[in-house]
Amino acid sequence: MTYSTSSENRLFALLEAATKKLEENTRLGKLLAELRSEIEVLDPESARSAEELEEISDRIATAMMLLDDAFTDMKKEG
Amino acid sequence: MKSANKVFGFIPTMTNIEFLSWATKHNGNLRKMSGDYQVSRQAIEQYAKRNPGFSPALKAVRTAARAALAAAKLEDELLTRTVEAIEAAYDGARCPRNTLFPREYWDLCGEIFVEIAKPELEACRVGKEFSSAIASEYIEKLYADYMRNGDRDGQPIMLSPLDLVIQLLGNFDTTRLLVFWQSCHASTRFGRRSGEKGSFDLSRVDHSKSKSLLNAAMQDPNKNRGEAQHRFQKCKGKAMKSAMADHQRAKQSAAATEELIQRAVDDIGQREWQVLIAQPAAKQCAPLWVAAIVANRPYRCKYPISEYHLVPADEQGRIVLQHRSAATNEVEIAADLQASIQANRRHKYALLRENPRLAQLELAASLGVWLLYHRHFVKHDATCRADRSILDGVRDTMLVLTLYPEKIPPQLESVLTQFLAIDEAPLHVTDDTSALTGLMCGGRWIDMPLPIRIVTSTIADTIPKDFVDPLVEHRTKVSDIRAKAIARIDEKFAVLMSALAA
Repeated sequence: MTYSTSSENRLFALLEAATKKLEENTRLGKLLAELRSEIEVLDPESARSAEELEEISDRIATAMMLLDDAFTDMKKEG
Repeated sequence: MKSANKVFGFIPTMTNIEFLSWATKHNGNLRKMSGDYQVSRQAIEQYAKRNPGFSPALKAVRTAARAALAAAKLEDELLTRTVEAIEAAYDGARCPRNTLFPREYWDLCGEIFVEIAKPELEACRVGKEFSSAIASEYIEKLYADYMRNGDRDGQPIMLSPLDLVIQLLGNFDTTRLLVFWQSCHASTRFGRRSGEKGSFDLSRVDHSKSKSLLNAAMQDPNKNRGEAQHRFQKCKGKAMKSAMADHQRAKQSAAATEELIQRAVDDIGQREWQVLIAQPAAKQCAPLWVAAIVANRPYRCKYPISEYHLVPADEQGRIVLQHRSAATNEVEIAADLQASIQANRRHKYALLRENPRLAQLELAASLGVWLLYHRHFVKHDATCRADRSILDGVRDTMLVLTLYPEKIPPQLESVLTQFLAIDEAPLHVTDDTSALTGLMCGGRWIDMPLPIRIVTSTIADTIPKDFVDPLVEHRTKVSDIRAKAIARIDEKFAVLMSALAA
C-alpha cells in the first residue's frame, strides 16, 4: 500500500497528538495516584491537637489545589 | 623493647577532608578508628600530628561528639521526667502527654516573671539574656519538680503555675535561678521544641555553628571540593577555638557545683560539713543547696556553724539555718503564712484583672490542678475515695477543658472562681471552703476531706453532661474533608480512564 506525502504527514501528526495525549493522561494518572496516596496517609484520628489537625487540613487543601491546577492546564491545552 | 607506637597496618595518605570524614564516622573515637586500618591508637595520633591541621580537626570532632552526647542525655532526662510526672499525675494513655496546660499559659507566666523580676534578674547579671521563653522553661521545670516531689511531707502542692510565679516573685531565689541558668549553658541544646519561636536553642552558640561548618565541609567533597576545603580551612581556626571554648565552659559550669561545695567545706571544716549534711532537713535537698546556705549564713563571723541547725522554711521543702538561741514561735509563723497567702492572692487577682485572657487560662489551669490534687488525695484518704467515681465520670471533660479554656461554661466559671481562689473575696480560715481557697493559693495542707468533697461534687455537677470535645468535632470535620478529597480524586481518575479508553 502506498501513501501520498501529505497523507503520511497527517498520519504522523495524528500519531504524535495521540502519543502526547497518552503521555499527558499518564502524567495526570500518576499525579492522581500520588495525591491519593498522600491523602490516605494523613490520618485525622491519630492527630492529638488542633494544630496537627490544621496541618492535615492544609495538606489536603494543597493537594486539591494541585489537582485543580493540573486539570485546568489540561483543559487549556485542549 | 616493645614500641608503644607499634604499627600493624598502615594509614593511607589522606586529604584533610578524607581524614575529617574518617574521624567523624567514628565520632573521633581512636579505638574504633584504629580498627579500620589495623593500627594502634598512638599511630593515629602521630599521623594526625604529622599532618598540619589534622590534630585540631580530630579534637574538634571529639568535642562535638561529646557535646552531642551531653545534649542527648539532657534531653532524654527532661523527657523522662516530664513523662514520669504526667503519668504520675494522670492515669492512662488517653491523657495528653505533651503538656499539662496550654503552651500560651506557660508563655504568659514566663512573660510575667521576666517583667516583674527585671531588677532581680539584672542584679544576677542575666537580665537581658533571660528571655520570657527561658523564664517559661524555668517555671515549667520548677513546676514539674513540685509535682514530682510535693512538699516536705510528700503531699502535692496545690499551686497553679501562676501561683508558683507569684511565690517566686515574692521570694526571689537567686541560687536556684542561677543553677538553672548554668544548666542551660552546660548543655548544647535546651528547648522544649527545636525551631519553635523563642525556644532557647543553644545550637545558636558558637560551637554548634562550628559543627555545622564541619558538616558543610564534609558535604559531598567531590562535588565541590574547593568550597569544602575552603570551609575546612576556615573552620579549623575559628570554629575549633569556639568548640574548645564551649567545652571549657561546660566543664567549668559542672565544676562550679563542686567548687561551691568545696568552698563550703573549706569554710566550716570537713567535720562540721558532715554534721550539717547529716541533719534530717539537709537530706531533703541537694548538697549544693546546703553549700549555698553555708555561704550566705547570717552572723557569719559571730557564731560558729555548730551553733546553727537546719530547719524547713516553707512548704516547698526549702531549708534555712536557724541559730540555736532562736525560739520558734508557731503562732508567728502561722500568722506570717496567712499574711503571705493573702498577699499572694491580692497579687494574683491584680494580674488576672489586668489580663482577661490570663484569667481565662488560670481558670482552666485551676481545674487541672484540682484534678491532679484530687487524684493524689483520694489515694490516701478513705473518706474521699467515694468521690473518685464522681470525678472519674467527668475526668475526660475536665482534661479537655484545661486545654480549651474558652469552652468553660459560665456556670462552671463562677464555681471555679468561688472555690479556687480567683476572686478578691477576703479569706476566712474558719470557713472550710475558704480554707480550701487558701490552700489553692499556696497554703499548707490541712486535713479537710469535707470541703474537698463539696468542691468535687459541685464541679462534677456543673460540668455539662453533653459536652463535646472540640478536638473530636475538629477531627470529624477533617475526616470529612479527607473523605471528600479522596472521592474527588477517584472521580477524576474515572474520567481520565474513560478518556484513555476512548
